[in-house]
Amino acid sequence: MSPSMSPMKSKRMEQGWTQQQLADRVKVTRQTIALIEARKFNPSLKLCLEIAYALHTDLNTLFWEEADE
Amino acid sequence: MNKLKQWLGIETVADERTQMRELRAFHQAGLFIVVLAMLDLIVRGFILDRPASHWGASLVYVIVYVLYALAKMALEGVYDTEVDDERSFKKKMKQHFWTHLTGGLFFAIVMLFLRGMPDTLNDWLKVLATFVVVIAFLQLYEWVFTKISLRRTQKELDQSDS
Repeated sequence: MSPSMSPMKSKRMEQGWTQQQLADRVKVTRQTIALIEARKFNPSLKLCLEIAYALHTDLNTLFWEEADE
Repeated sequence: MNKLKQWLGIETVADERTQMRELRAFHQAGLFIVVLAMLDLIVRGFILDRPASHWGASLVYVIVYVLYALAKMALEGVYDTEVDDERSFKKKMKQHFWTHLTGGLFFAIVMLFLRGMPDTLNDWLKVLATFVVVIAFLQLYEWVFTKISLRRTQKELDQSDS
């Protein structure tokens, strides 16, 4: 995983899904998935959970990042 | 409610990001209309001194916008976020009363100086009656909106407790 790649993107790629496939599963647009992965949109907790369920993982794996010291 | 939103075109998609941006666009469009209406009021109503029939519709738009926004804030429980129980409600009403009273007195004194002192007792009584009605109206509207907002807040707090 490259340092700039978001954990969510790497998890999606592990599953072999495109952004559109994940978007269809959680009923959002592909742009929304792209922007979450690019850390340019903060999803609601509800959407975070839906993405986590779809990718068969937990919130920590998808979204946890160490704070900058 | 959802059907109405869909019918009005406010909420047509499930995607929260799209929905958020759509709502922002509607919100900005509403603000734009109300700013135009206010400009119309100022320019045609005050500066050019045109008859009321020219700018009356703009006044209605502004009043509807303000009332709708205040009512919606009250119904959503965010009209006055400092008020979350009866004690804070009473305290806030007292604060409003003194604010309205001092503001009203200041406005009345300024108007008396600008328009001149009333000549008769009847004129003085008219000034006093206007003063009382304005203060009562301001206090009543604050009371109603804050009370509605408080009820909503308490309902939500009760639901979160249970």
